Amino acid sequence: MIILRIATSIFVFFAISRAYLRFKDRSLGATGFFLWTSIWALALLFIFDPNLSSIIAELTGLGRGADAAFLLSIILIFYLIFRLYIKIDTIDKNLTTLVIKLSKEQQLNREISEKTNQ
Amino acid sequence: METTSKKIYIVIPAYNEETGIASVISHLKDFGYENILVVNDGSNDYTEEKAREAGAEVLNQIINRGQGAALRTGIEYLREVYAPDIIVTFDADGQHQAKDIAAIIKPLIEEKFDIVLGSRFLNKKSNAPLLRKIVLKAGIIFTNFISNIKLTDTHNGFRALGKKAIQKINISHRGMEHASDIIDEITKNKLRYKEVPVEIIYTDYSRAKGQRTSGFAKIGIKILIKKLTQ
Repeated sequence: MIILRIATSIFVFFAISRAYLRFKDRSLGATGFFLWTSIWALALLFIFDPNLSSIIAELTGLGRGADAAFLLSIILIFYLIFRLYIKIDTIDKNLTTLVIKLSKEQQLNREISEKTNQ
Repeated sequence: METTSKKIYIVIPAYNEETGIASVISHLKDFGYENILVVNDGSNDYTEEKAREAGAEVLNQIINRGQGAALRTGIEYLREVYAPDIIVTFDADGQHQAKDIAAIIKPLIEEKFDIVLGSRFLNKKSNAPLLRKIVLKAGIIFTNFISNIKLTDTHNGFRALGKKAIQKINISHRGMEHASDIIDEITKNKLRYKEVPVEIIYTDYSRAKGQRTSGFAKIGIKILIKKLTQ
């Protein structure tokens, strides 16, 4: 158990440090940084105090603590997939807009240079 | 071509169509349609050169972005540069027939409608294979339900846009789902629409080039996601 706790703690600190670096270089907003830090801090809490998950399970009526942790993880994963989908979709749309803009400009420049050469 | 003072432009999205693009363009020219814009959608063959040689204006998309994006490029470019009265969207694979353009633009010339959609199911001429027909019919029921409209053919790339439609229609999907975008835009902008029968000729070439029947499920999923995330 101790080895698991140490390994998880190292991983969590690594994950938080990555989030901090992304926050520092402004590729992650303050809300995003807060959210990620909270998620990892919560994971750390669950590892060091497994009874905490049992308290949540009792409060939500989910039975065992492990069930509550499992359900929360699934919800979180779905939410992250959804966010990723939205992000990729936005990038894809921006890329299309860029390609369209470039192709129109290229053709207009071509026409201008043809007229100039005439 | 019927004599009219209206400025009519044909826009053809094309991806790796070097084999057939020249004959499609010359077929259109035979019918008197001279204003032809080919949007070369990141082809890695000689589509661009063949289209230029055949006498079309060509716009190049540096990477392949799909038919919806190519149509958006074509419509936006024509709107900004030529201010056309009518834009006809036409396939590059030879499925569409230039002889049908007269019928598809007539309601726009008479200014009775804002957009005219070609339908392969209003007459029995089109030789769609059975499986394609079943999938298309399912797609029609789905799109009619989602977009709250009643059409006999929802994924036909043969259509004509009048001035109001050219100004208002906004294509947001870059792939084949753009057909549903156009239908959504009709209801959103309260455009006057009409369907006219057109003949779609399926050849081995067009079947190899065109949308795969299995791809329609993907289109449906994308449309649903769009509706859920809007």
